[in-house]
Amino acid sequence: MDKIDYYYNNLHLLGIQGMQKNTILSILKRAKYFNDKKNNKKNTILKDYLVINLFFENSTRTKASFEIAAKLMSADILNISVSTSSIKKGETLIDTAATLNAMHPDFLILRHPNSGTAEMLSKHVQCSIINAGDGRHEHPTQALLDAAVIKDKNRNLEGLKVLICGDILNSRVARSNIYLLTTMGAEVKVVGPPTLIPKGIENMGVKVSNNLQISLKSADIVMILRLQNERMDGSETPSKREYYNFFGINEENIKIAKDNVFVMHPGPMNRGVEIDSLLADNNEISLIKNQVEMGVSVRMACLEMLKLSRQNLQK
Amino acid sequence: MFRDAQTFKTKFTKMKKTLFQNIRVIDSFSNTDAQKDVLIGDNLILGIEDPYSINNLDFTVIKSPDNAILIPGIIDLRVESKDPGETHTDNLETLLKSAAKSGITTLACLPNTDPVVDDTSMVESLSRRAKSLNLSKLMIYGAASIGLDDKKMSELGLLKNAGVVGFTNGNKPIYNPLLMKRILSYSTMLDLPIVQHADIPELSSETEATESEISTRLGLRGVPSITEAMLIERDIHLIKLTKSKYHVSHISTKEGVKAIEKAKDNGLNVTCDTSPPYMLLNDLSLSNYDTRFKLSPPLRSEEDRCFIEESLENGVIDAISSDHSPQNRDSKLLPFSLSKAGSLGMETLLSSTISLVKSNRISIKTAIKLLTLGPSKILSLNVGKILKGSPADLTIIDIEKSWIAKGDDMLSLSSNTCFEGMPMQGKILSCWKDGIEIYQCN
Repeated sequence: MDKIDYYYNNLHLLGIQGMQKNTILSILKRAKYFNDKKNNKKNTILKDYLVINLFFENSTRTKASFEIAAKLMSADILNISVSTSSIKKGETLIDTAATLNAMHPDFLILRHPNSGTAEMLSKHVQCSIINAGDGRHEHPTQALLDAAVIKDKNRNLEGLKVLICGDILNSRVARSNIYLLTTMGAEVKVVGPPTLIPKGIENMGVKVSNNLQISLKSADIVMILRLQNERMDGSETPSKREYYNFFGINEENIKIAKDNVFVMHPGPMNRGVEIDSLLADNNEISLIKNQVEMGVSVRMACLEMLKLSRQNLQK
Repeated sequence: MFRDAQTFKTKFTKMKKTLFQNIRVIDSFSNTDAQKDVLIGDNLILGIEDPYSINNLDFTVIKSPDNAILIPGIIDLRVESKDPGETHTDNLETLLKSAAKSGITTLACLPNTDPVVDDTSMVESLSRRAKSLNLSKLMIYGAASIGLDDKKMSELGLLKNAGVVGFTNGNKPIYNPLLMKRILSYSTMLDLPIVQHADIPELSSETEATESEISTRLGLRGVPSITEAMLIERDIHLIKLTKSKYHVSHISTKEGVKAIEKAKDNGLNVTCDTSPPYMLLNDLSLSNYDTRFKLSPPLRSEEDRCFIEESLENGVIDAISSDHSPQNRDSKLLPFSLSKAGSLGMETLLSSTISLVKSNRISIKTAIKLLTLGPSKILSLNVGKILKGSPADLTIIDIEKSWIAKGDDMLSLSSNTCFEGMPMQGKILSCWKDGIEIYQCN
């Protein structure tokens, strides 16, 4: 195996913002390697390393994905979810982190409902923190795996027309994807009801629209975001049926997009709200299963990257 | 009380072309005030030419009396329908007949019926019923919030698809600031106006009049007149933020109009209308506790009234609406504080406006504009103008004729007019919708 260089000199992976193009490319390349059937066996890259999954929000795929990635790399892994932690007993987040830090983990995979939590904790622990989603801020490994899936379909990120559709306001997936895709030279457009488009988003290098039909034209990739139920009861959007009517993507309106369009969704889906069931299950257009599959490989690459950057920084 | 309807020619007949020969035409869109021949047919205006220049035996020629003026059909931006919910107070048929008799060819109804118009099925049902009556055109505002409870946004997009022309909380304000911000923001993708009744519930709750010496002498609880401007100014900050379309209905105070003027000067998409009571009456009318003068917003000071009057001519106010609000006899036969607010307005809409023309407060051109093109622009309608190819929605008026306003003579099932017994100037001679005569004065 060639010498691997991720061009990354940070202890933590807190977000995509500021990440170099060559770092992203290295992660994608390495993920492709890990995703290859013949390399998909257990390795010893993280032997004797301790990984802690610290999840303050419900998660199935991300947590499982990190756990499998760590196990495939022979790390020891400990899962802590909020219902079993001492947070419920009134301990502060910093105290919890200090306690965990005292157990000398090498990686802390953190998901938290508040934006900025990963960055805050990174100042209080010695291990490497991987942000697995902080509030509405970032979800870097999701954006990386989305990019890996697109590359895997032989699409070049540069010049690619990506439409991100739905709840941009509350989405960390949207933000990480915008940082990543614009860094890689893709043309990103966001579409959604005005109530779910955050102020100033156009300054992040994306185009903005409130009209799905028009926006779908010329899209190479359509990324559909999850719209949480509590946002569809007359607060941010009037109702599920209205949302589906104006922003739901189905086998009919996807025809407006380019012929070889792909549809992605970070999951979990609201079938019949932001995406129609038939489209979600149409494996010729939908890359949703590929996204889950690629998740493990991308996270393996990220863990390896942080291991190497720590070694480099300690030299 | 049963009243015999006047002549309503609502039957479908094979459309024949009709020529209004040598009639004075006032049209704001083309800035016309001249004698013309106007030819209509196939629902549309087919031509506007110099007098006696259109000749053909195929036409029905209508020769109008000397004083007759042909204007675009009047458009009324604010009408309260009691149907469904309170059909003993008024129903859709009497409402639309009143409109035709008032020269109103298009009227926009508030969503505060029972049930509330917060669902597409209500819009479809009302539209279908109105269409089958073949009288004036009914436009419908959708409820801005579900059940008008100011908590959650209605299905604005689906309501638009069903045909509503704007969104409002009816005779209540959209007050919740977060909801208002979201509604304004959401409405930008629909390009429909948000129509506000500018009031602050905490300040106006249980009040009966405008806070003033009059309310003090009468012992009525008063709401400060500045309340209106307070909400408008808050809204204007949100309009600036969201770049939305906003309309203040039945504006009644000097400070309120000033706030609109400032917003317009700043290039915001803001409009307003007022209603005849605020142009002609002030709170001195309350002096004998006559419940006919109980209105919402309440009658204001003479200073406010004068300012409203001036703002009609200078163009800050974009339209005059009737603020038609039928209230049954029982709800007005109560002590002032317990009686319901509201007055009939459609049948006095033209005359009360013309009375300002007769007293030289506004020009006839301004008056017609405020009743036709002004409201049409606010709702982005294709009517309100006498233009070749436009729908033949026309009204013929005689501004020299005078009459006395009597609630009992009005076609509504209710008779609560705040102009009861007052002399009125100007009558509707006939009213045409899509080329069909829907009202003719006997």
